[in-house]
Amino acid sequence: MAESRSSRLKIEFSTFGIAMIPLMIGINIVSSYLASGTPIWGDTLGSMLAGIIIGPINGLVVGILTNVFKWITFDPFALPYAIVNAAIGLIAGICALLGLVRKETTAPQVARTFGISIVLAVVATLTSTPINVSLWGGSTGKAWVDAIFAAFMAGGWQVFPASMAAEFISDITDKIITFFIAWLIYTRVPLQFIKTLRR
Amino acid sequence: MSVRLSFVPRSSPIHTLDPRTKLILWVTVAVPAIVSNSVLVCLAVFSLTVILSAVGKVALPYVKNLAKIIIPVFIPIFLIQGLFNPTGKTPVLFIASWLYFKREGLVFAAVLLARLLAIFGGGYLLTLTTRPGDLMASMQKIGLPLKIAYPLFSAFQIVPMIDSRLQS
Repeated sequence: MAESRSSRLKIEFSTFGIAMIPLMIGINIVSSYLASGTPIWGDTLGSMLAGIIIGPINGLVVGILTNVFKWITFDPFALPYAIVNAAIGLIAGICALLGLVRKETTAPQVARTFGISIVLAVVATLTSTPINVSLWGGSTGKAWVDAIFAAFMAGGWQVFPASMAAEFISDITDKIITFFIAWLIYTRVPLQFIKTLRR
Repeated sequence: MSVRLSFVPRSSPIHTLDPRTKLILWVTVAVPAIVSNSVLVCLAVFSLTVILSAVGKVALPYVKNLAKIIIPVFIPIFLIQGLFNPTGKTPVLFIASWLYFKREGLVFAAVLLARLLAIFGGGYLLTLTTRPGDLMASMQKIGLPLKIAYPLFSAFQIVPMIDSRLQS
C-alpha cells in the first residue's frame, strides 16, 4: 500500500470508478434476487467485486449505497445493514490491495480465496449479530438460519451467542460461495479493463 | 423482488415538506422508541406515523407494505421468542408438557415488533413521500459529495432496467 490516501481515493473515484458504482449496486441487487430462493444471501457480490477490481473505499461505498438503494425502493429495514455490506466491500478490497486476490487459478490462490471467505464470514457475523439481536431479537429472516437459532435457544443458549452462532453458520456458507464467484469473475475480467479503471 | 421506488406521487402537505425536515421528524419520532422499552410508547409513536401517512395520502401503501414485510418475519419471531426466550417463565399456552408459550417471551416479541415499526415507520414514510432526486439534492445541501450522490442516482435508472430484463 505504497500510495497515499488521497491518490488512492483519486484512483478509486476516477470517472470510470464512479461509473462502475451503479453497476456494482445492480449486481448486488440482482444477485440477492437470484439467491432469494436459496440458503445464501448473495447480496454482497457487487461490493466484493468493487473492492477487488476498483479498491476498498469503492467497495465500502458500494456496500453502503446498495442498502440505501434497497431502503428507498423495496426494503424499509435495509438501512442498518449498510454497515455489514460496507465492511465486506472494504475487507475484500483490502485483501486485494495486499495482493491476496490474484488472477491465477492455482492451488495456493484457491486456499487464499477460501481463507478470505472465512475472514469475510467473521466480519459479517461480528457486524450483523448486534443488529439482528437489537432489531429482530436474534432472528435473521432466513428460515433455515432461524431454525438453527431456535435450536440453540431450545438448548438453553442466551440470545446473543445463539444468534451469533446461527449467523456464522449462514455467513460461512454465503461468503464462501459468494467470494468464490467474485474471484472467478475477477479472473475473467480483462487486465486492460482493470488497468483503465486504475489509471 | 420488484425494484420499484417506494415513492408515491401525491399532492399533500407531507410531500411538500423539505426532505431535511422529514429526516429530522423521523429522528425525533424514532428516539423515544429507541430509548423506551414500552410497547405503549412505541405504539403511540407508530400511530403518529400512521396519522402522518394519512395526512400525506399514503396511508394504504404505508400500512399494506409494512404488513407485507413484517408479518412473514414476525411469525417465526413470535414462535422462537414465545417458546424459547431464556427470560420466559410464565406458561400461557401448552403445545406439549415440555413445550409451551411463555408470557415474557411473547411480550418481548411484541416490544420488538412495536419498536421496529416505530423506528422504521418514519423512515418508510420519508421514502414514500419524497422523490429520490429531491432526497439526493437535500443530502448534497447538507454535505453529501456529488461523487456519492451521482452513482446512487444512476442506480435508480440502471437497476430497474436490469430488473425488468430479469422479469422477462
